[in-house]
Amino acid sequence: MGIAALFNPYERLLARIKRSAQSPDLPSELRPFYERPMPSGRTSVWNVPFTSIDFETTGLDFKNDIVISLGGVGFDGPSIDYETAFHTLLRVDGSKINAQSAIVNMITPEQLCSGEDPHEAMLKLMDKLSGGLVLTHCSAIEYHFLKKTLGLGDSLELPMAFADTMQLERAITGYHEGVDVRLSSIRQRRGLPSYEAHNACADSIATAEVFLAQSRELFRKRPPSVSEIFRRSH
Amino acid sequence: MDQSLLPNIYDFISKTYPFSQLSPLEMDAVATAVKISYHQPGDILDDADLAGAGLYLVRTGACEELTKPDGKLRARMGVGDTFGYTQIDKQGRSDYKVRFLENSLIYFINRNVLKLIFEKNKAVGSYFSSNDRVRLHSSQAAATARREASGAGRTVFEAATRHIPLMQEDDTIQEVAAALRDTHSEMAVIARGDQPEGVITKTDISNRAVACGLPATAKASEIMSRGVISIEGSEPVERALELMVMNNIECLPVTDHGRFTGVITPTRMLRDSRLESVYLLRDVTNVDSIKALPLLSHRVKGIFTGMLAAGMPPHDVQRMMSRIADVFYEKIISLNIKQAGTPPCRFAWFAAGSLARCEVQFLSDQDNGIILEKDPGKEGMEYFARLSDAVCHDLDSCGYPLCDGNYMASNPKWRVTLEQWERNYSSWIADTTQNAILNSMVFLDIRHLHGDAELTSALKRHLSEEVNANSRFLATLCTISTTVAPPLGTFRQFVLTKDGKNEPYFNIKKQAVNLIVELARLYGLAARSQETDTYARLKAARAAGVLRDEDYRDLAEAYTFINSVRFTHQLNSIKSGAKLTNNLPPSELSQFERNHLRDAFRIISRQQQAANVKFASGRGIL
Repeated sequence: MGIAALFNPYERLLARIKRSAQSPDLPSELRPFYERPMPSGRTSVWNVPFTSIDFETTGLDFKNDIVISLGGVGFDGPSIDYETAFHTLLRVDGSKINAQSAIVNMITPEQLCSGEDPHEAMLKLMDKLSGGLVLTHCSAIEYHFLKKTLGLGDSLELPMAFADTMQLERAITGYHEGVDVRLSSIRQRRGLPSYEAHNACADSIATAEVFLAQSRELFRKRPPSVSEIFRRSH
Repeated sequence: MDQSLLPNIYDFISKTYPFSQLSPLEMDAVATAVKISYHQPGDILDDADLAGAGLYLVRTGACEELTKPDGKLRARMGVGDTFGYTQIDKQGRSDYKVRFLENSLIYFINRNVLKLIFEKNKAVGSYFSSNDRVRLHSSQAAATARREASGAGRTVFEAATRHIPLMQEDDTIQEVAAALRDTHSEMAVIARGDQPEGVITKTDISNRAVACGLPATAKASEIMSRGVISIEGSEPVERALELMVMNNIECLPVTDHGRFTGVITPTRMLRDSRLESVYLLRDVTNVDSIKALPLLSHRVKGIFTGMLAAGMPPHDVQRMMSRIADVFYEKIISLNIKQAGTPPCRFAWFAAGSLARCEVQFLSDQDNGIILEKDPGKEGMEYFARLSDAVCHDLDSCGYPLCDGNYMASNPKWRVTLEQWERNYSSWIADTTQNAILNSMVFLDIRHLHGDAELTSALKRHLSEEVNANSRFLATLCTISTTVAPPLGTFRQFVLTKDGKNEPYFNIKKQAVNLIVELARLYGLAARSQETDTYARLKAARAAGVLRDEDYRDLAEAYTFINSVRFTHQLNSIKSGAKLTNNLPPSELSQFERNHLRDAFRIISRQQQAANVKFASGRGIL
């Protein structure tokens, strides 16, 4: 790694992924995902695998809470491709669902008991995401829950680059304190239609739409590069 | 993908015409094929983005279509509007480009998916067909125009009622009974989805459920009569009657392209506002005192709303309203003459403006004049002054308000000899300044009402001869008639006028109806036709070779549709007790109306340009 790359967050991410791939702690079932090449930082985000995702969880405590559903949608160039939209309910041990999260997420305990095995679901998700750019709103949630469900320790990096509409919004608004960066507020400011919140798939689409708007505001007509988006997302 | 997971797009598509007409399965296919893109003001879609691409649907924001290469505004689009469909079979170059005016979220559906859907759902496909006239024509509201052209009778749609409960097969008998009670219906249609599967009448509930001891929770499907015979709404009413007689049934479900929309019964078929108006005409004719007339005139409102509610074609409604006005005029004039004594000379009373064109609306004001055979002397003049004062006043009390512009026989200027009238016309026509014509515009449409018809005919002949002897006149009239452009940038508030309450509105009379009336007048005069009715003028112009068949059909179709929108909204205001107005707030227009109005405006704009090319030279028709 050259000196300049030390100051480039995306190059540092690539280095961490490379180290993780060689780590003896990496579960063997995940190795194939690390063999996929990551895009170079200079590539346009419209020319790399790019997926917007959203997790619904029982709470924000990474240790004790769990993911109950996940959804996402892919980009096809600078547009969102509905055909790639997906949504999965995860199987949950009944005792872990508290009444409140069921209300917020509008998912009943019965639905969750018949959901997909979380580990299996995350492996399938890894297949969609690894080697590409992943969009979320507030990426810490998806990042940590994904790592936890897959059993990746703190020292290991996920083989993908996270973009974050919440951080991008902070960049656009000049990192002022007190700017409301909730997804619904960001959408409202841009006159984007209001979404029925708390459905993982709909939220991932809402996030993707926001990204389309933000990238135009930040870069006008020029397609942003992967490292430009990554830097403003962290 | 489960619909509930993509609530936004399903919600939006299911409320946006014509996608709302798709079946759930088709809607599913469309929704999952959508691609979303985002555009900023100034962004352009051109050639490859449009030619051979697909259909764009505006989710939020606004954009406009610009013709190429001159960049003239073709249409302006907002939420729920679509574009691009006419370009899907083009290659390389598109006919127009699209420029974004606001930050816009756009749904895109590519041509292959569309073709597949429209192959299955012809009704929706035909809506998107490339020609605006075809689109107006395919709209149900224009079904009436079609019928008018073919001369056939009423369609089932017009006689059908939509107020009938549509229940599902697995609803309970109790639910069906409650729905019958709540809608005051004799029967409910039981469907699977939108497909009628059977019917249940009140008698069925008594005979097949209660009498047989079925529980109230039994399914509707257990007692419904299956094998329902239904009829397409576009069929003539006679066909419905035939089916009823042949199958010994009294109630037929009505479908629109196979989808349930209502029912038709013999009572519905017989209810005809034309009958009510016939009674009124008879009653007015039989009256022998002016005092009785205002009371009779109160019935006009009911007849007007009845005709609108029955879905009578706008043109027929106007003709009937004009016929009623004619009878009131005739009665009021002859009763007043009876009181005033024998007139001192021959004369003709004529109608001008909308009554002359047989386009009377509810509460249209009066425009009329008197042609005297000769100067009847001072006393004779006083006779006509008294007579016309009385007549205009009586008309006013019968719901034909006095004219603001004072274009009435009670004004001595419009109560003169044939010779003077001819001089008036000659000077208006020779003057060719816009003001002269504007002030006399109302007299370019005249129709005989009472007295010596030969006098009115003579004046009309004179008008026609003068117009054609003076080619500059048509050029000036054309300029005046095309000054007001249709509001192509539809319903974005910045192109709308504001009323006193500062709400944007669109004046359907001034910004749409009048534009076609004026074009028709122009063509009618150019064709030396003595007709005054707008359709008749257009027909005469076509017959005389002044107007191409194509253009005739465009204008007639647009005129019918615009009038139907106008009438629908007037009916609504009458029903809600609001003041009758031609100002429509855009919020009151449905997506369907907006889309079709835009087509109609495009036709008007095109026809105005064509008229300018034809007449502006000042040499008349080339």
